[in-house]
Amino acid sequence: MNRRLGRRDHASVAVVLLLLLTMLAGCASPFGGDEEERITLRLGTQMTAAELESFEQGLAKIREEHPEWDIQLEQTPQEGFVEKFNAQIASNTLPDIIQVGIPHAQQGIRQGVLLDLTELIEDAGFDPTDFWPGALEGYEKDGRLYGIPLSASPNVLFYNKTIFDAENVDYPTDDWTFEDLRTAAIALTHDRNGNTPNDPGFDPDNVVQWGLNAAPAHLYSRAYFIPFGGDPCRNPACDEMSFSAPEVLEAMSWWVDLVANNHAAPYDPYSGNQTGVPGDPFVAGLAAMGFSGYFLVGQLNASGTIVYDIVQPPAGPTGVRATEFSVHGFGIAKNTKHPEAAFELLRILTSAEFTSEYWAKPGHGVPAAKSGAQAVLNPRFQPDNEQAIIDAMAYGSAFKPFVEGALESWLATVDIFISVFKGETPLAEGMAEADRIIAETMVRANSGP
Amino acid sequence: MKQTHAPQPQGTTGAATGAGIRRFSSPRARRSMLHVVERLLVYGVLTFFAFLFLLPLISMLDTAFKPRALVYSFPPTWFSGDVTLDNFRFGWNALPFDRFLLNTLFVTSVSVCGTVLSSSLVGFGFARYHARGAGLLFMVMLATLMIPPTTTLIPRFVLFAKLGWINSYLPLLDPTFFGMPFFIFLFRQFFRSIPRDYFDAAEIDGCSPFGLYWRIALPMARPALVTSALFATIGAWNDFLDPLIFLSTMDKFTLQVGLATFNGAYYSQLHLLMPMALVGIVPVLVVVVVGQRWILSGLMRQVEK
Repeated sequence: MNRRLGRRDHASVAVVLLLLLTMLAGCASPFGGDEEERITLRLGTQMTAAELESFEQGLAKIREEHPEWDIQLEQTPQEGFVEKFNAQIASNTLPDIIQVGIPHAQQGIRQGVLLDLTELIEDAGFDPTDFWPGALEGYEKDGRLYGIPLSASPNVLFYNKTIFDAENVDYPTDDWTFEDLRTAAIALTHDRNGNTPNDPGFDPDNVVQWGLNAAPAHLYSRAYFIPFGGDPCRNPACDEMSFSAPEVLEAMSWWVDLVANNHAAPYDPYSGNQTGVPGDPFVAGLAAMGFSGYFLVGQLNASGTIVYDIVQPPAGPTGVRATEFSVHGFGIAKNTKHPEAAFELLRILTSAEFTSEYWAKPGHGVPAAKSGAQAVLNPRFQPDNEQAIIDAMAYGSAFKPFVEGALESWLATVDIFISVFKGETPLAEGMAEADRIIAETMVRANSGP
Repeated sequence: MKQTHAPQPQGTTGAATGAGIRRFSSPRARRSMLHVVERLLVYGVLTFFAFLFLLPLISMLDTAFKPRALVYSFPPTWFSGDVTLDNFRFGWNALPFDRFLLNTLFVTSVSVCGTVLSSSLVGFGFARYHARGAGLLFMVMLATLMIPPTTTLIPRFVLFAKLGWINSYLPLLDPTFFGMPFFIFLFRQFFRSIPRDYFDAAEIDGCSPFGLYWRIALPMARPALVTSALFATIGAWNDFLDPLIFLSTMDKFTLQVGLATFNGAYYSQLHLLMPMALVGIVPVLVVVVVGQRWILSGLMRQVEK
């Protein structure tokens, strides 16, 4: 038999309803504009706390100068960006302006979710030639531009002054060639008995100090081969690669020699397999030299334990230098309701004035606008030779390939590269196998629905 | 029974066999000795694994109070004696952690209420009422536990985006008011352990079905309630993926998403991340320590059942 609900029952239901109402009250969506005359621009970023700190100062100034815009900053931590980006694409809710690195910009271009900015750029009289060409190319496809780079971080040669001083070896210079690099790397490598690779009795299995932390043991290593005349990319789009082409094999053999025969560099620089430390052994003071991006400046300066400087990447036998950089920039969602306003904001965010004032902090990245790049020259911080970074920007290029299937190819071939550098697989045989896998993976990735 | 000494081993006579040797050679003494060794081994192994599990926490504590330079030094130094609170100060000021904590508290409180209320109600239904297909329905509900949440992430995002709920707490809170399979299972098992007589007596006295749930079942299910509330608290407090996906602006971020902002693609600000992570685990640690007695008794009830 049923009984009518009592006072306590009513009170309980009321509590539940109250909770629901409280919840709903706290859940007001921010997307509804309060003032119709203001243009709401959603700005998606993926910055670290340190980057946000200075970026938000700049954003506050833009808000002051453009009261007609309601700029809503939508920040995503970098480690969750991929999931968020994919979800936003799937639901057609990308922010009006979104910060993307090159791989995701290219993904957005392929999926047709980024706005083609070419006409907007022409109409606004915007000058793309003020941007480093290597940074700009990552946002291009078929001659059309889909984004503007904010900053780039070129790989340069970092060296530990303390180790060089202790070993009485001359510091690297911007004039170094790869042979100078090899000579120094061998002299600075020690096993636990203090022997260098040139000494009899050297034990390559117990190296305690590496001369150089670098080995092109994966797909994204063009810059290591180009100075020797061997570019694995077969065309500008780099959707075809060959590591078994004679000139690439010759270039690679220099590195295999350095790693497998000279024992002056580890075969897998960041795994910790040989160095015993996860991450970068240069940061741990276990390598005298290492190639790394400008972002490392922030990390080294934060710890303050390594006395270091930088130089440009060495030149190859014919004087050619190469470097690659990771780039961040902004694109505009194709479905934005305010393309002109979004482009105007994008233009301000990537301008030399904005980036030099609010972005060129140690370790953030070099402004991608040439006229703003000088801002990284800061005598108050290490390194002294920051000019090397700006010089490297001139000949740097984006990490390639960034076509569909590139990341899969990298994953599928990384063990082959390492096996070659360990001396377990002959160079020509390993690279022929890598080429086969890369071709298959790229074809499969590009023939999907 | 008279106490007897064990026979002396052959070849050991007179002064060569001291009292100590005799003591350990008796079966009872040997058993006692074995027991001590066994306990030592067990405690040794447990201590080792306890230390292993505590190591990340110890490392977090150490890093949180270490000067910035020592955080990144190699080889790492443990408890150098150089203690600073600067990391807490800088970390707290680097991002709006007061806001993150309040947001997390709000999300956790509401989702725990939703989870406990809805799951207990559904669990009560499954435990006490029999309908055609109820068993199958229960199995289907349990089967949803096997679906990895990441596979439903994009469909859920699309759904909530169409509802206009993105960057609100609704995608985090709304599902908790529709029952969570694990907790429904927990409550169903618990309610089945309550003797039917209580409900029959209440029904005879005119209690409604909702009254049976509210007046009889829930008050008797305190261990299950606390256990569920604790698990739900830990889950909601530590959830990263859903807040990451559904929340976009800093003023809405929860603690876990805020902490992730210290992690960059190339390097992490460990000297800020660790102190703030420590601040973040304190509330949930207090809840777990206070409620662990209930967790144990709640779980034991399930085991006994």
